[in-house]
Amino acid sequence: MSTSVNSKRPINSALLIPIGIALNLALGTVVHLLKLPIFLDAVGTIVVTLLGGVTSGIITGVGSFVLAGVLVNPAYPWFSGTQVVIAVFARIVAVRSGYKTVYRRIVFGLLLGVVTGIVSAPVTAFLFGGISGSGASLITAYLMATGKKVVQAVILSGLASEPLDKLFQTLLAYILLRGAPPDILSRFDQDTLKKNGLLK
Amino acid sequence: MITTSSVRVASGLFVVCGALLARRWHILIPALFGLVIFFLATRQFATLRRCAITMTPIVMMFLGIQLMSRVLSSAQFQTPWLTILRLCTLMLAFSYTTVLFEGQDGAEKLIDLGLKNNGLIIALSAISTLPLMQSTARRITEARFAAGFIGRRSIFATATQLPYILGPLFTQALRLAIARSDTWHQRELSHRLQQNLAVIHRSRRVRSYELLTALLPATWIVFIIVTEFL
Repeated sequence: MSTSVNSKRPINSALLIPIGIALNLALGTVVHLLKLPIFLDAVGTIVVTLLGGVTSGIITGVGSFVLAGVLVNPAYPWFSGTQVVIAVFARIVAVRSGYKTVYRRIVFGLLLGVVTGIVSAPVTAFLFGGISGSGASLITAYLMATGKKVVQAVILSGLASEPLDKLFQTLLAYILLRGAPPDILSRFDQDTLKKNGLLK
Repeated sequence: MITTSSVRVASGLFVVCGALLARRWHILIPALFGLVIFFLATRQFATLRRCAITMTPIVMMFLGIQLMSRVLSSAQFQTPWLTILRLCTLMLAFSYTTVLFEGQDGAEKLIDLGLKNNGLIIALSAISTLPLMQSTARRITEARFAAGFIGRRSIFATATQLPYILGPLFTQALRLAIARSDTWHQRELSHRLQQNLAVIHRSRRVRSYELLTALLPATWIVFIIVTEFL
């Protein structure tokens, strides 16, 4: 039985990717259009990483940002590196049972925000002069107008908005997985899901 | 083998690289102009309209920020026009590489772009999964509207229903993915697709004028490197 499930797993993971991309695009586009100072564009990446592993998570993140570059904002594909970092971080945390309790989810969600804020700052600062068209750019613009340098303003606005955003995303990803029936979840990476209390 | 799609992807990448390398806004004008001409000549009006709709709020935001920086202090951004034009060029370049050829279906286009094995399966499932998810979301919204949970059919009212839609939509999408995975596994789809790749590639050989089109952005990059860096 276990052999047949394992032999189907690569295709299962491959078919997860469009679902993750759809999640990223649906939430990210709504938030982008409303110009909120958060992003909500990596929920799919976190979900797919937990279900299908880090490679599927990376493909989901990069794929959704390339697609968002065509459909939403041409600045998106240049932040693909951030999505790679999110997938790797989510995997490392998941392997260490980091999503098992609500306190761990809050701590690792905030930590993910700090990491992504630092990773995406150089792209925003050097490629787009501090403004990339997202809601967080308004905070950057305000800081720049008050006399802060571009890099300083971008890092500060990232650290102000990213931790809260990534906390929301981590919690939302967990709620989505928690709401999925166990018979469906059991078809994916069972070890990781059990470690994080998503499967018994 | 060089195919028409791979030439188009290469041209798009040249334009993207040029847009990133250019440090003065007027250098981007030829690329922007060339891409608009291409879309007009090939009658891709819908693509142009979509680009314009996407770029309008971004440009408005840039102008608002510019105004805000002048009001709040004497500071001004050094490169707003360069950034705006860079974003416009990138948007058009991405659209240029992804526009489907007329009379060619999605699967053939993906194979033509060089996708194979799991990559092809992901892309094919995306083509079939996304419309299904869209229709499911619409069904849930309609049901909630009929039950009186949504007051009116505005975009904002629909957006507020997102938390209620996400859960069932995600579960159904996972169920569909597993069912599709089982079916494709039983039919040995990836193996059969692999066998057809060579046949499809042979029918998509590149023509000389398409290579000539790719030379234009390549020349533009050389021009940028010479003028900006040497």
